[in-house]
This record gives sequence, C-alpha cells and structure tokens, in this order.
Amino acid sequence: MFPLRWWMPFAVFIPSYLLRLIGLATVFGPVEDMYMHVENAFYYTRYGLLGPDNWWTHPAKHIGLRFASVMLGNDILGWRMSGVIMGSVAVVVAALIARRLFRSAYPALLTAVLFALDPLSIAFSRTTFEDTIATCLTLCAILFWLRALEDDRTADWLLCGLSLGIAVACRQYAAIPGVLMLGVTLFVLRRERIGVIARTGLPVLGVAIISYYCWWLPWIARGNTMPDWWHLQYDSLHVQGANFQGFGPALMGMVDPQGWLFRWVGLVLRRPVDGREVVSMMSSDPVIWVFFAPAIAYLIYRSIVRRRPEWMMIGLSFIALYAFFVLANRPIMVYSALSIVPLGCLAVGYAVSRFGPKARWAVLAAAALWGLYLYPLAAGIAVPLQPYAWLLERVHTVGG
Amino acid sequence: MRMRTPRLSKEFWYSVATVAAIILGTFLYLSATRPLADRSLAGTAARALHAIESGVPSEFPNGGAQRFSEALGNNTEMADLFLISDSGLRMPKTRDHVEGALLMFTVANEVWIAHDNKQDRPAASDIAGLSSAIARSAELQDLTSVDASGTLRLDNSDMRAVSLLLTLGQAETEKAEASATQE
Repeated sequence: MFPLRWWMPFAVFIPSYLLRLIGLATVFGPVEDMYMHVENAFYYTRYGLLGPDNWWTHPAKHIGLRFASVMLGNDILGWRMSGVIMGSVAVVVAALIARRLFRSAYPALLTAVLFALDPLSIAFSRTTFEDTIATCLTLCAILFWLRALEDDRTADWLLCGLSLGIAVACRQYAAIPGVLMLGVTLFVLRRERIGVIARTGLPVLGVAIISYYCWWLPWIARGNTMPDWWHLQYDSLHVQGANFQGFGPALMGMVDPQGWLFRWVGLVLRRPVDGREVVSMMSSDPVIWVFFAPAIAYLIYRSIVRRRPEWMMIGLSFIALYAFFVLANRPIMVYSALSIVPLGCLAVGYAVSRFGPKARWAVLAAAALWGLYLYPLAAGIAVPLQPYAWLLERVHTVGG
Repeated sequence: MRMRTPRLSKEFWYSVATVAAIILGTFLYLSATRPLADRSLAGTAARALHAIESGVPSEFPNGGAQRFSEALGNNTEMADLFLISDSGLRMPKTRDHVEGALLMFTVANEVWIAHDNKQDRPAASDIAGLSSAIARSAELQDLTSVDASGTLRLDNSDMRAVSLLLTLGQAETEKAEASATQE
C-alpha cells in the first residue's frame, strides 16, 4: 500500500468539491423536491411530526436538513451544501477504499477521477439530501471495515457500526452492504472460537442499532410508543413495497431504451428517445457505466482466484444494490442509484489497472476529458449548445 | 515530573491550514452567491405562479374550476418554499407580491368553486382569505356589498369577481417576477 501523504486527500477533495460547488445558486425548477423536504424537516424538528409529505421517510434526514439550514442558511445554498460536502468526502473515501483494497495508486486515482466526474454523483450532490449522506457513510463503513479486518482495532469496528447505523437511518438500502460485510466477516472469522466472534460482532451490531434508533428519539420523546413505531414501520413497508415490481417487468424494461445501465442499447438500436431520456442518459453516463458490469464480473473472478473476500464483498454489494434498484418501479436514475456508482468505479479502476502502462494512462485521460465534457450538462450550467449538438442529436432524434 | 507537550508535525499544521482555507473559502463563496441564490429561488417561485395562470381555460368564463384547481394544486410548492425560506425574508417586496399572487389565485379558485355550486354571492366569511383579498384591492371592494343581515358578500355574477381576482393575481405575479430580478 502506497504511503498516504497529508496533501493526497485534499488533492482529491478540492477538485471534487469545486465541481459540486460551482453554480450551486441556480435552481433547476420543479425537478427539485426541496419544498417537501424543507417543510418536513421543520415539522419534525419543531413538533416531532412526520409529514405532511413522505411521512415514511426516516427522521435522520429531517434532523440533518434542519441542522444544515441552521448552520448554513435556510435557503437554497444551505439546503444543498450538506450534499456538496458529503458528495465530495465520498470521493475521498472511495479513493481510500481503492488504496486499501488494491494496494496501488492507479486504481485509487482512476476511482477518484471517475467518481468525482460522474454526472449522476454531481447531480445528486447538488440536489438531493439523504442519498448523498447514505452513500458517503456506507463508504466510510466499508473503509473502517477494511481497516478493522486488517488491523483488528476496536475503534475501527465501532466506527464501522456507527457509520452503517447512520447510513441506514438515512436510506434503508445501506443495510445491503452491511449484511454482506457481516457475512464476509463471519467467513473470515470462521475458524475463530464463537466467543471471539461474539466479542467482535456484538458491539458493532449494538452501535449500529443504537445509531439507527437514536434519530427516532424526538419522535418517541413526544409521546409515541414502541407499538406506534412498529405500526409506522409496517405502514411504511406497505407503502414502499408498492414501489417494487416483479422480475418480469423489470427485465422487460431493460431491453427498452429507458432500461437502466442497458440504456446504451437504445443508441445501438437507433430508437427515438424524448428529451427527458436525454437528460437521464447524460446522468447515467452510459460510456462509463457500460464498463461497470464487466469490471464487476472481473473483480469477482479475481477475488476467487486471489482469495480476497473483501473484493468479493464489493462485487456482491454492487450486484445486490443493482438488483434492488432494478426491481424498483420508479425511474431509478432520478432516485437512488448513487450508491452503486463508487462500487462500479472501484471495479473499473482495478480492471483498468491490470492493463499495460500506456493504455491505462490513456484511459485515465479519456475518462477525465469525457467527464469534464459532460460536466455542464450534469451541473445545469448554461453553455453553448454547439459542442453537444452532435451528441444530443444522435441521442434525441435518430432512428425515428 | 514535568509534563512535556507533544510536538505536532508540520503535516498536521498544513492539514489544519488547508481545512481552514476550505471553510473560509466556502463561506466567502456562499456569501458572494447568496443574492444570486435568492433571486434564483424567487424567479422559480414567480415562474411557478405563471404556471398557475395556464390553468385558466381558453373558454373562460365558461367551464368549471377543475382545471384551474389542478394547476393551483400542482404549482404552489415553489412559491411556498420561497415564502418559508430566508430568501423570502431578504426580499420583502418580492415576498409581498408572491404572497399577494398566491392569495388572489387561491381565493379565485374558491370563489370559482362556489360559482360552480350555484353561489354567486358568497359571504366573505365563508371563503378563506377573501377578507384579506378584499382589504388588499380597492377594485375588489367595489364588488362587495352588505346584505340585510349585515354579512359582507362578494358579487360574482357573470364570474366578474373571479375574472378580477385572476387579473390581480397575474399583476402580482408580473410584479414578483420583475422584483425578483431587481431586489
């Protein structure tokens, strides 16, 4: 593992931060649903009420958003800044994970470049609240988990549980990598005595559960009971369950140009797509994302060959989260796919690092140039349309 | 025994200085762009109010209130967001116009619904916000009268009051839009 100099995290953080900060004052219009979240945050922190909209959303988001409003201003900048900060920190954490996983500078560098310039990550960091935090904290949990597996320090185990608990409190899908981390940990410790496993695992689980539940304290303190909490969870699952479809419709959706990840097929098939899809295509960055699936497959293959369970955990997390989002009956691009981006970038970073020295630097330069080219579209910054005319025309009008 | 203060490395202080520079730079940037953010949010609120106007059917004053009610229901969020934000506090003129436009459109919708229910002279006390709207507009006061029981009523025969409320709402929207770029 290459030594970590003091300036390295800043060298990754500052460009990522600037990419997310520039032009932050521009409102995209009705695309954003801040009106809902800001109101909910106010009602929860003032009265302990969940609602009026999205009452099933977890309270961690409300408390975080209210805190951000108090610290940074109850306006569009204050509401967005926490996403900008956490989105930029997530890039640094992803690079640190790559450094620890692959023990080499190149995968860390390519992961940082891909994730920092990923259009979906940039758009999410500027417009959503809880997904960015959940993704950043899930990555923190993975980093602490890797450190704990390697050095077996209690602090790392507990920080892993803490990060994971808060991540799940923001977005429940963060539990998926958590379950996989637990499974891989049990696999690694399979020859240990049960007492050792319990001594390691129970405090981590305890910290995770406490850091998950503590966000409900304002709600409980205002007179709600545990049976109320269970009723709320049941109703919440019932409502959110309606957002999920079966495998059949999900797989059918993939062969359509609107299909996630396979969206590029629409280009190959030369089918017409509408303006909204153009934006989605830019967000999902098919040129980079098309490499995610083969890179994940390669990472899993190498994890078996090299007997690296932590690589397997990254690959399986990607697949499990991918399956979770594919089954959701809502436009995934616009909602929750952010959490798989860093995992895909990690796999691509590793796969490219196995190429020859010249090819991999060319890939790095090409990825950076492509990301910078798409940046104005992702950030909603007004630019001359001409450089994008060819691309938009091909995506928008061909094959009608 | 004398305690020795541990010496912190140069790298630590470089890191502290860099973090401080990032925080300072962020707050300077936020301060500099805050007026732009305020205008951007106000402009979005004004555009959302324009979208409410699109709910008025071309066959007006004939036809029901349904389409307008839907347009109103779908386009008030950004205006509400502006009103509860600090941007609204920092832009009092725009805030006043946005509030006025929202009030006029909301009252127009209620009076229109009353008209659909065969009530051409609704009492001011029966419609939320109508008293405030009357207090705000002299033209609207001309359409009011007090009946024998002492109740203040609005004359909406031939949809005159709704038409006037929509005109007033449009005027307030335009003022809000102009004010959002100047304030």
